Amino acid sequence: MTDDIRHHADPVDRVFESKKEYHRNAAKLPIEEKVRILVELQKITVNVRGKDAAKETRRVWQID
Amino acid sequence: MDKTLVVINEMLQEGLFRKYAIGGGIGALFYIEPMATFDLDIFIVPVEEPGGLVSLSSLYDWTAKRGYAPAQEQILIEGIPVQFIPTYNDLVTEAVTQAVEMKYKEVTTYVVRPEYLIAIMLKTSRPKDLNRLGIFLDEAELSMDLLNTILDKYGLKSAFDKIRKDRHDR
Repeated sequence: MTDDIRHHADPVDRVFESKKEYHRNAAKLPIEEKVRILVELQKITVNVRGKDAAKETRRVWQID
Repeated sequence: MDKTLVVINEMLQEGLFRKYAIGGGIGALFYIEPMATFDLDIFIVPVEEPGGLVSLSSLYDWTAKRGYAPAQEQILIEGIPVQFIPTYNDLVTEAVTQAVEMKYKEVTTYVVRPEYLIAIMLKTSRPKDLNRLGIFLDEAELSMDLLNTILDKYGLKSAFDKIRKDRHDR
């Protein structure tokens, strides 16, 4: 947790600031790691959408 | 994705288009956290044929000869559905010509700058674009000077200011 987050007096503000920091850190990941995560997100999306996804052109990337 | 980019670079070298840049959701991925998206959108500055016509037939012929199958408006290249989108207005053409060179693994590629992605999202203004635009404002490292220049040039400043104000008021 950074000093910025600790210095928020309101606990709710601290939670929101912590979430923002999490997202900002995710944005700074190397692109190769982001693509690895993207493929996992694609798998989840296709599984959740089931038959609907199969009708669409959405396909999980087949990469190494 | 590196194998796909190698193929796209080969297409560039063979003159199937004059320039390209990654845009859309994968372009955004270079600047913000990962979000589910399925297409690799490649903006291309096409080679004009006699009479000023733009045709993608040579591109489709080239990929077909190498066994890359078209699937509706996409072409499946090394496991990734790629959509080639000829630049369709001055903003997108400028976004491609001003794209930044980046590396994916060891492969050189070109990615639309985040400031241009924001302008394109504003211009398109679909709900998913505006949602992604908000994430850009939270997460991407931006040159506000460049962004303001682009927004002024393409008449998007008031739309951008409204979105910022709405976010601030929430």
